Amino acid sequence: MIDVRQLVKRYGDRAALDGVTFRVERGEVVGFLGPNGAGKTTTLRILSTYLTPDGGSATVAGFDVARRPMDVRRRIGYLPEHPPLDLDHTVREYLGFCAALRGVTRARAAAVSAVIDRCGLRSVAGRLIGNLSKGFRQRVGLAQALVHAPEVVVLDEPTVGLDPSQIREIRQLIRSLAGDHTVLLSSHILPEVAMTCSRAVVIHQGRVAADLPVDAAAAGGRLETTFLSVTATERAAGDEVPA
Amino acid sequence: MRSIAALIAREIRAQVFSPIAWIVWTLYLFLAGWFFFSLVYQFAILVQNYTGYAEMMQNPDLVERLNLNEMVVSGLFGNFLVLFVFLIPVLTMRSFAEERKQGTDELLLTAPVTPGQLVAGKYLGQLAITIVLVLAAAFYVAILLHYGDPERGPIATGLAGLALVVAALTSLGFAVSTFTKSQVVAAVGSFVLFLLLFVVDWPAESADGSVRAMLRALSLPGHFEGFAKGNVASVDVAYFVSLAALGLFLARTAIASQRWR
Repeated sequence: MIDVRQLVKRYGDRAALDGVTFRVERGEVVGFLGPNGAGKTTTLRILSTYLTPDGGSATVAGFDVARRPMDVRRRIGYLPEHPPLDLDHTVREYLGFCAALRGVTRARAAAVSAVIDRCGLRSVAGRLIGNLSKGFRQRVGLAQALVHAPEVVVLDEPTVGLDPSQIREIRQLIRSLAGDHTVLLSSHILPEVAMTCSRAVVIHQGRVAADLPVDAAAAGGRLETTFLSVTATERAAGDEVPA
Repeated sequence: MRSIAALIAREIRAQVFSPIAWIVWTLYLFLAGWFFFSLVYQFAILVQNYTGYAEMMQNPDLVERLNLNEMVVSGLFGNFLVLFVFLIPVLTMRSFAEERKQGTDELLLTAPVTPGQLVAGKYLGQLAITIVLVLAAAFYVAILLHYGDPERGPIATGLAGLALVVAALTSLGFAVSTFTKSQVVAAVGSFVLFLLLFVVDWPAESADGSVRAMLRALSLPGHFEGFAKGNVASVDVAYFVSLAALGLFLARTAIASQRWR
């Protein structure tokens, strides 16, 4: 569903991505791991068509992000690092707008209603987003990524800044997406990936450093060992780019 | 089409639910009311004086020389134009700068709408807010029509001209707003640009031939004059339509190029 090959993105002289390659199969929930500044957000922005790559290619649901961005956009749900919310809208109005913007024409109200239930927003559906807590805002962000029933869902650090019980709820929600949707979620929190994903792609300094299945039992320990070893070796190699 | 309609509705909503538009509309009504009052008052004094002279000199034609259109309507339109320079930047400043700041541009630019549709939706939404300034102007003119007897032709063309000015300035203000994250920068930038369009022909008097013609051709008030007097030239219409088109083109380019940074 997601096929990334030798992706390159430069900001000035600095290469944020330097040949990233990985695949995500249909129905998988894959964690995209890496230390801060590794290139996670840049990769997800390219997949969402917000940015275009400088080299390599990426396809989402069979469409190239650079050449067929409109086809990609119709099939992808994207939650950026900072949820792009209209604070002066109510939850229901905002999701209605998102659905209309993405061309949900038939049964728009039903689609909005369904996603409100799915994301546990029923109790706040009529409230202004600006007055909601961070946890609810994050859920609204997740809801806008799901309202048009996309095949592929891309989430950039979906649990950052939430309290433990909110994190648990969001994780459950993400797990429930497996099967219907193909999910790629970025994180630098190892247990999060261990708990929600079936596979982890570790990225470091703009390259894929490891790609390994996550089996629930041994997950925490093995993932951490891998993460620390791959991010440490390259740092020792001395080509660390200052953040 | 549906996504454009959704964008228009969202734009109007964002403005109507923020205090800025209401403050601008109110201040505009206040200032426009003051201009209206002072012009009408001056005219009334003149009529009084001329009536006195006419009696003294036994020449009733004197009063007839006072023209409501020239002295009040046309002056009023000129004043509205100046208010637009100050107030439209405040109405357009948030249009894209605020999306950038709040990160909602990421929502718009990853939705299946083209930059052209995005610009169309946002521009029409902005225009719905700024065109209120022309409707308010029409209100004062309606008072004149009710109590006085001005010529109707120049009033109709004048209002149409004001609408064209608003369409052009809204487009340019929107374009400036697509280049920055800061509303203040957007407001100041548009204000300077509008002011430049107002004063660009000031050196024209002393310039020669082609330079003079060029400066005059760029002047915004110069192209509005005809509308206020009731003679609409196609070149004047073309001027405002071109400004609007230029603004939309720049906005579209700025939005489309964001992906390539």
